[in-house]
Amino acid sequence: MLGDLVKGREKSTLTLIEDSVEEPGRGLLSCFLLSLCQRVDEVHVLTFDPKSQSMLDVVPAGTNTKIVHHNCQHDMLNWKESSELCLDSDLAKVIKAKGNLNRDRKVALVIDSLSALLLFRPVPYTCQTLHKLSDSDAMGASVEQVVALVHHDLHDNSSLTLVEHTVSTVIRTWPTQSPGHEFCCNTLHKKISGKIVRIKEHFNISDQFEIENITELKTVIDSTPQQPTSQVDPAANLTFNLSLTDQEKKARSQVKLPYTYDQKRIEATLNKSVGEGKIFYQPDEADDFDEEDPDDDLDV
Amino acid sequence: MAATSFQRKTRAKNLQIAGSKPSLYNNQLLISSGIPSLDSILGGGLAVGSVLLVEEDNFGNYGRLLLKYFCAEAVMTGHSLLLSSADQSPDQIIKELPAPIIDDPGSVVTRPEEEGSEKMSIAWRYQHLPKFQSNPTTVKFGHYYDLTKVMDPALVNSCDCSCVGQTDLLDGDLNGVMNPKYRCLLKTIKEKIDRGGFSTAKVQEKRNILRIGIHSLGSPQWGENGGFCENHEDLDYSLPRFLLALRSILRTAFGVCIITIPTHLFKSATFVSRLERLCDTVVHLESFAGSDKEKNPAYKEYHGLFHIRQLPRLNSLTSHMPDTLDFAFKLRRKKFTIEKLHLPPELSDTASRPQEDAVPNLRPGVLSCEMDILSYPTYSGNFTSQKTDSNVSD
Repeated sequence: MLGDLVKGREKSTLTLIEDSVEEPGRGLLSCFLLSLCQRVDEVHVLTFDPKSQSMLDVVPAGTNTKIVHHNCQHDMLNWKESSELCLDSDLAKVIKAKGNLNRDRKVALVIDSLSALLLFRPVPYTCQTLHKLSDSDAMGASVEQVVALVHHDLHDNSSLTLVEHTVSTVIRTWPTQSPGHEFCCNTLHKKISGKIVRIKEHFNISDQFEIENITELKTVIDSTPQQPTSQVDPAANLTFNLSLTDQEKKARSQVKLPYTYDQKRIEATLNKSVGEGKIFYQPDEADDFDEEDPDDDLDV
Repeated sequence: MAATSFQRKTRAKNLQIAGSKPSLYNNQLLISSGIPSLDSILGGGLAVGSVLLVEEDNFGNYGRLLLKYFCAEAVMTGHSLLLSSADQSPDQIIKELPAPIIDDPGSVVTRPEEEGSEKMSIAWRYQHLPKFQSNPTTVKFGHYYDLTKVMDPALVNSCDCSCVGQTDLLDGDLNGVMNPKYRCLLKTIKEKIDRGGFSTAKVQEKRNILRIGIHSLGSPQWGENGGFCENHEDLDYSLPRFLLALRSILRTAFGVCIITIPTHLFKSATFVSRLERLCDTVVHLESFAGSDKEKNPAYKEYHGLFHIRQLPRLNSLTSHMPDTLDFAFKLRRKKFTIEKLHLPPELSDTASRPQEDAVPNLRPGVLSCEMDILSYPTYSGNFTSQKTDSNVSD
């Protein structure tokens, strides 16, 4: 699943990578960036973190012309009042101003990271911004993918829930449990069809920043216990006969059952309208049938 | 003798509006939600002037589907429609409405007969009885839709439909008691009711009904911060105020509103129950997608649980009570049905049932909000009464 997401074989317009200090996710983000450079016409990289510049060094010289870099580091809180990207600026406007957007161009965005925005601005604002950036109509270009990093150890759960609700894929880094693998992540992907995929995978990142050796981590506990395969046939060793031969079955079918009347009466009963009752009375020998009308003395 | 102030009660003339029928319980005017099985659970349909709150499933897919059925039904009955969404473009939702299945009721009736062609030898009395259906389908009220096809655009365009999307919601002043987006939406609804002549105050020659669908209200796209103000401490009262205002507008209008709210985003349970109290009917969809219940054998044939949180009490102290509150829904290509939740028959030969331990909670939660169940309708289904055929005494 992770390989497909990075390569763009599985479509996800809004991808969120959640990392922490122990399990950094910037390597994975670099993989996305490289893959996007090969797939689309223009990649906008928005950097809010001090170290995120290093990500740009990953891109080889040939393809880095596609990258438009927006750096928030110079003037984060707009104290210099420059036109550089700051936390208060309208991201969609900034990208439109610096990039070359039109309908025919495929555009992608890489944001490293959302944490500054989440801490300085209200959470719904960040969600609305993300949603707007991924909307092709609002951006005036065909937005292929928006990949954003967020440091989940910096935020409370309710803020993260809101951001996760907005995005289509959440990739969270986990401590690795396999000696042969460097990284592990838990992916929640909402497909366009509405199907939900939850998967935990181990993987390595090569020197060329490609994902390799992906192995799915199967959940160890299988909730349904295995049925015993050899079922004992209870009719095997019996002192009496339980099964019927064909001849015996035929004989059984000819036995006249009680209350199964002749065909004419069956039809008479069945032809009645539904819900209407009719009384069939068959007096037996011991029955004392009174011929007299019991209501004879009544003046009715 | 002085003239009394009493007047002979004249039978109020029932309004004849396309796609509506009077309720069998209290003569309220009902319209179909677009899902016949949901209608029957809610007592026949959605009462005109009421608000249905759908608490969305975690990923919102089924909530959106319910809304689409509701909108499709508006197109089919010729009702007016007002659709609003901040998460998606409402025009896109309108374009993706499912195509109606016109000849469905007939095919449903004929099918059971083909299946039950096998002749009964012992229980022959039951042979001519119609096959029992757990969810009675009303023929002329509500439609079935085929999810694999989209509705004909010409048909969609015949509907008087207005959309309120994210961009329409932007204008609105910030100072006020309510989130500007909610205030803007409320204003649009009020204007639509006044302009379209849906208000009960206006005497109208020909009445129509306004269906209002609001998708994912209270999501972050509306500027809602999980029910809290920006400081994460005080509750934000915008949404309850909006719901209160909306309900009071609808009470004097020929309108029905469906709202889907992602209540799982609200951390405060009090806040959610406050929202529930401000709507008439509240249902909660719990999808199995992405949860452990997906693999649970008890839920094998269903896609999720359908919880009823609140039933409407309109002009009376009681509400219509369905004979069970355990429901589950399943989605077929041509049908979205809500059924009574049954456990599947135990078919294994072994007496021990290993899955019993793995499934500690088979019964979904019972009604979680207090309701005055003053009278429980004595249920005498036609199933039993038909079967009491002439019994022969020995």
